[in-house]
Amino acid sequence: MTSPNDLLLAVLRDPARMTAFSPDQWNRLLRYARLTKLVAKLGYLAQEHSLLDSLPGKARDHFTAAQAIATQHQRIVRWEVNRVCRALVGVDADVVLLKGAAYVAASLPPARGRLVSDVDIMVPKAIIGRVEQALIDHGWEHINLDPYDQRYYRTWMHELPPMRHIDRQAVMDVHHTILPETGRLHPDADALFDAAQPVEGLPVKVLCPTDMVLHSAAHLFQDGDLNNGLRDLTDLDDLLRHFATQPDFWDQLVPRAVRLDLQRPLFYALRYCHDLLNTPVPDGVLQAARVARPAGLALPLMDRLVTMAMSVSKAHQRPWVHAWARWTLYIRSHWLRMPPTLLAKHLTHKALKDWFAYSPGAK
Amino acid sequence: MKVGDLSVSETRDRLMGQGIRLRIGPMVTQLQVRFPNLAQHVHFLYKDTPFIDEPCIVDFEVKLAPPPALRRWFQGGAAIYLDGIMNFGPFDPAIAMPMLEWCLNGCVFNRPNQYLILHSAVIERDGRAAILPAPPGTGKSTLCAAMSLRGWRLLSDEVAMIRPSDKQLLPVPRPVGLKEGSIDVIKRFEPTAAVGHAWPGTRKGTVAHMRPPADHVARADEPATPAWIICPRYEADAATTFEPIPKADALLYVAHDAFNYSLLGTTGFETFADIVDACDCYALVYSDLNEAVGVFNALTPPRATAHPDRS
Amino acid sequence: MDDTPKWQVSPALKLSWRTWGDDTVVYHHGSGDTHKLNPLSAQALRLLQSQPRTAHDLTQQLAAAIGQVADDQLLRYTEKLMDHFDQLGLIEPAA
Repeated sequence: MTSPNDLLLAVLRDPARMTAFSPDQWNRLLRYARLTKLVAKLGYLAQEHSLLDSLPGKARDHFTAAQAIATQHQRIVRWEVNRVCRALVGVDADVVLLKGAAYVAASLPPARGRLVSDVDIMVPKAIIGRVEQALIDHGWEHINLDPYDQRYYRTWMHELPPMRHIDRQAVMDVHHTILPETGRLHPDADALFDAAQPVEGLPVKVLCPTDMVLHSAAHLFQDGDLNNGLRDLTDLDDLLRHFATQPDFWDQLVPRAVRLDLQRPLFYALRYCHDLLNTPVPDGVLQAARVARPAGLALPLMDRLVTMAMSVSKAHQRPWVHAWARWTLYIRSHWLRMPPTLLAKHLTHKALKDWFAYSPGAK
Repeated sequence: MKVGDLSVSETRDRLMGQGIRLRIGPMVTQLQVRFPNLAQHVHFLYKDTPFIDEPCIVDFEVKLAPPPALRRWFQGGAAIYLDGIMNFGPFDPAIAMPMLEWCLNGCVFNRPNQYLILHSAVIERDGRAAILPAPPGTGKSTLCAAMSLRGWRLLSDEVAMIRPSDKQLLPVPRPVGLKEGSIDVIKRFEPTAAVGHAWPGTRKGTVAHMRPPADHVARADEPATPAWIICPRYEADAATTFEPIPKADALLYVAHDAFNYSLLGTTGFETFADIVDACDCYALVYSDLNEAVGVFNALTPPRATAHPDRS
Repeated sequence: MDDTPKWQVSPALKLSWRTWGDDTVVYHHGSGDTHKLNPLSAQALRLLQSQPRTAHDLTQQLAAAIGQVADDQLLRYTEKLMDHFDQLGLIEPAA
C-alpha cells in the first residue's frame, strides 16, 4: 500500500521536519492537527526531540494552548477515577481502567497531550449491577437514551448505557468485556481480569501491556470508532514503542492475540502503525501476525479505507470521500459485531433518528 | 501597513481573495469576506488595525461566505467558517457584520489558552488598568466606550487577556459592540465617536460598533498592570454607588466569569489570586455616564497590602 | 479501641490557600474547584489536613480553637461539615 503524502503523518514520523516548515506549512499542519486533536501531542513530540527552541514562537503558543486543554482533561480523568473509587468503597469490585483513563492513571506515553472525552472502566459481569447501583447512589445517572438505545446497549453491547455525573457532567462507560457479545470475536474477559496489573497509589488496575495493545487495536479496527482514527493509531504507536523495551513483550503479543481471539485487529494495528507511522515492529512479529490477514480483495479494500480515514489532508480537500470511507468502516464494524438482520434494523433506526435530528423543523 | 492604508476597493479585493491577516494584539486573524458590500464596513471598523502582508502563522482563519446551496435555501444566505469548517450559521446576510464580530470575539474567548481569558472590559490610565468583569447586559461596553473617549486607553471591551507569567493585561483592541439605546447614548456623549453602521434584526436587537481611537489601536503591543477590579452594573435612574467588595468575593466572581479559569487549573487560581491581591475591588452601580466617568477619574492607586496568608 | 471512621485531606491532592481577613479561598487541585470558607470551616479543613481525625476529635479541636464547649450542637455542625467536605471530594476516609 502507498502511504499518503500527508503533512501531519510526515511530522508524526519525523518531528524534526517541523524546523524547516514555511508559515504556510505550519498553518496547514496546525489546521489538520486541530481536526485530529493532535496539536498538544505535536508539542510534546517537539519537546522530546528538543526542537522547541528551533520553532516559531507562534507555533509554540499553539502548542501551549492545546496542552493546557490536554492537561485539564488529564486532571478531570484523574478526578473521575478518584470519584469512582470513592463511590465503590464497600463494593468489592475489581475495577480495570480502559483506554484514555488507563493511559492517564498509569502515566503511559499515549496520555501526553491526549484529549480524553470520557472514562471507560471494566468490571466483572457478575457484579456489574452492584457497580451500577453504587454509581447511581453517588450521583451518576444514565444519559437520557430513548428506549431503543437502552435496549440496544443492554441486550447487544459489552457495556451499560453511558452514565453521566449529575454535578460534574463527566461521562463514563462501564464495560464487562472489551468487545460486544454479539460480535464475531470473543475475547475471554476472565483472562483480561486475571492478567490486569495494579496502578501505583490507586485501588484500580489496568490491562497488562499485551492486552492493552490488543484492546486498543480491537477498539480501532473492530469496534468501528474511527472518529479519532489517527489519534488512536498514534496511541497504538506510543504503546508499541513503550512496551517494546519490556522483555518478552514482542514474544507474547501474537500468542496472546490468539488466546484472546484478537488476531485480525492485531494484524491491522501492526500493519497500519508500521506503514503509516514507521512504528518499529520486529519482522518475525509482523510475519506471525500476517496469518490473520483477510483473504482476497478484502485487504486492498481495507488498506484504501484506512488510508483514507487516517488521511486528514484528503478529508480536508474532499470531505465527502472521507465521510464515505468512515461510513463504510462504520457499517463494516457493525457487521462485525451484530447478526445481519439486527444490523439492518439498527442502521435503519439510527438513520431515521439522524434525519429527524437534522431536519430543518427540529432546531 | 494598516487597513486604512488600503482603499475600500483594495480592501474588498483582498477580502474576496486570499484575505487580510489582521494583527489584533497578540493574535493574527486571517479574514476573508465573500460579500463585496461588507468591505466598506470592515474598512471603517479596522481602519487603524495593522495587517501583515508577508506569509505568517495565523491564529484564526475566519471566512464569511455563502453556505452550500441546499442549506442556503432553507436557512439563510451567509455563514462563518472557522479553519474551513462552518462554525456559525447559516444566517441572514443582513446581519452578517455583527455575526462576524461575535465570531471574532468567540475566537479570542475560546482558543488562546496560553493566556487566562476573562469576560471583561479593560481600560488603562498612567500604566494602571481597571478590569471591568461583567456578564452581558450590564453596560460594560457602553461604559468602556465612554471611558475610552475621556482619556482612558481601551484595551478591550470584551476580554481581559492575562499573561500568567507576569500578570500583565494584553490589549486586544477591536471594535466596541453597542446595542440598542447605547448607540445613541455614545453618539450623544461624544459626537466625534467613530460609530459604524447600525444593524437591526440581530438576536440582541440593533447593533453597531465603535472603532476604538487610533492611538489606542497603535499601542496594542503595550500591556498594562491590573490595579482595580470594578464590577459595573447599569441600572436605569439609579444613584451612583461605589462600594468596596471583599477580595475573596472578587476572586470567585472573576473565576466564575473567566472562560478558561478551570481549564488552566492551578495557573488560573494563582494568577487570579495574585491579581485580586494587588487590586482594589469595587462594585459600581450607575445610570449617569458622566458620574461613572467621575468615579473612575477619582480612583487612586491601590494601597500596598500586607501579603495574604497563602499557607 | 475506637473504630469510628477517621477522615483526612488526601495527601495526594494538594490544596492552595489564600486568606483575606475572615475569608479563606481554597483551590482543590484534585477536583479543580475553588471554595470560599468561613473561619471555622477553614480551621476544620486545616485540622483534617494535618492528620486523620474522627468527627469527635475534630469537634474537640474546633471547640478549643474557638473557646467553646464541645457540645452536641457543635458535633452535629462538624458532622455536617465533614459530610459536605466528603461530597466535594475535599476529604476521604483514612485507610
